[in-house]
Amino acid sequence: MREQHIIEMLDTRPLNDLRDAEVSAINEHTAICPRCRQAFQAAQLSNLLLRSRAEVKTDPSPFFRTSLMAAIRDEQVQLGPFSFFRIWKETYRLIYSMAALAVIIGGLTLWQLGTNTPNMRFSSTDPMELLVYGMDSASVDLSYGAVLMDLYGPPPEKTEITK
Amino acid sequence: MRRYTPRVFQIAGRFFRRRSQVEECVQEVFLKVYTRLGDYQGRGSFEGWLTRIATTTSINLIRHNKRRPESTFTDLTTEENEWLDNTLAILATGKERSIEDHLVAADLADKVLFTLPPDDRLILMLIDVDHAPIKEVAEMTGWSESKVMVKAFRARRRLRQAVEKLLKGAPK
Repeated sequence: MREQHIIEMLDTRPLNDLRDAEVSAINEHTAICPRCRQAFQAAQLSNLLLRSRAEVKTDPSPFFRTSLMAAIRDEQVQLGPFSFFRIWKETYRLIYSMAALAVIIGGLTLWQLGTNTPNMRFSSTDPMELLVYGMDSASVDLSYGAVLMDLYGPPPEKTEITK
Repeated sequence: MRRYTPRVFQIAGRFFRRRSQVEECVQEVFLKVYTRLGDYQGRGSFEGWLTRIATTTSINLIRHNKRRPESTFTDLTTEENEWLDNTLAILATGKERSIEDHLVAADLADKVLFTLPPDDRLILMLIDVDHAPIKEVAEMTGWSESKVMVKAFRARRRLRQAVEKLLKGAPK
């Protein structure tokens, strides 16, 4: 240890966290190594400067409290009961989730239409049903009489009315 | 607010040099506390929660104002040169320093610290001064624990080298 340079050790941990064994090793080494002695002195000074900086107290200026209260009042106005900002802040999650739901429903509907339309093709041979579902009506021979036949069945046979 | 103002000023004061910056940071902290008071769930102390907000706000402001060194070693005052001359002897004897010495040291610390990049100052203040655990610093800064350790190592080295440079330049 006596021969090893201690510069790495100085930078690895805060100086105050060094163990006694490490400090004595540093002292041993710095006694024979001027370069490390200088580094150790600089590390000690750095530590001292940091502590001195931490001890500095910054006092608020006389107007600090007033400006802080003004800033808080501004914030209160922004967050007032009828402000758009507040309403938005409290409802944006709901609005976003509703919009997401609408998009999902729309997407599912489109997907459903895309996949189910061929299955829904009507395969009836009944001309009336074909007409109702609007399918291939041009090819269907559909006269007025045929429609009546389809709806009411064949007309009864004519019977003579006896007086 | 009155009760916690000194604590928040103390935290912000570690990261910023000018009073206007410190006040800006403290104001930001209290506004955050005001708007997020509902988030405090009573777990842990209120002061701990406030300290965390103050530290993260300071970190964000430092990052927002991120720029390279605010000062260089151009002109040390006579007092600062004397302080450098005497301090090594004082360190060796372990004598108590006077209040004036503290003030000179604080000014000199500002000069040295503000030649470092903001991240270095941040890490030195959190780890070497506040003794914050690496894990906590990693959470607050969003860095990984190994990155925090590497940054701390480099920050200590840069600070030490800056002080060495001062010592070389100080009149003997």
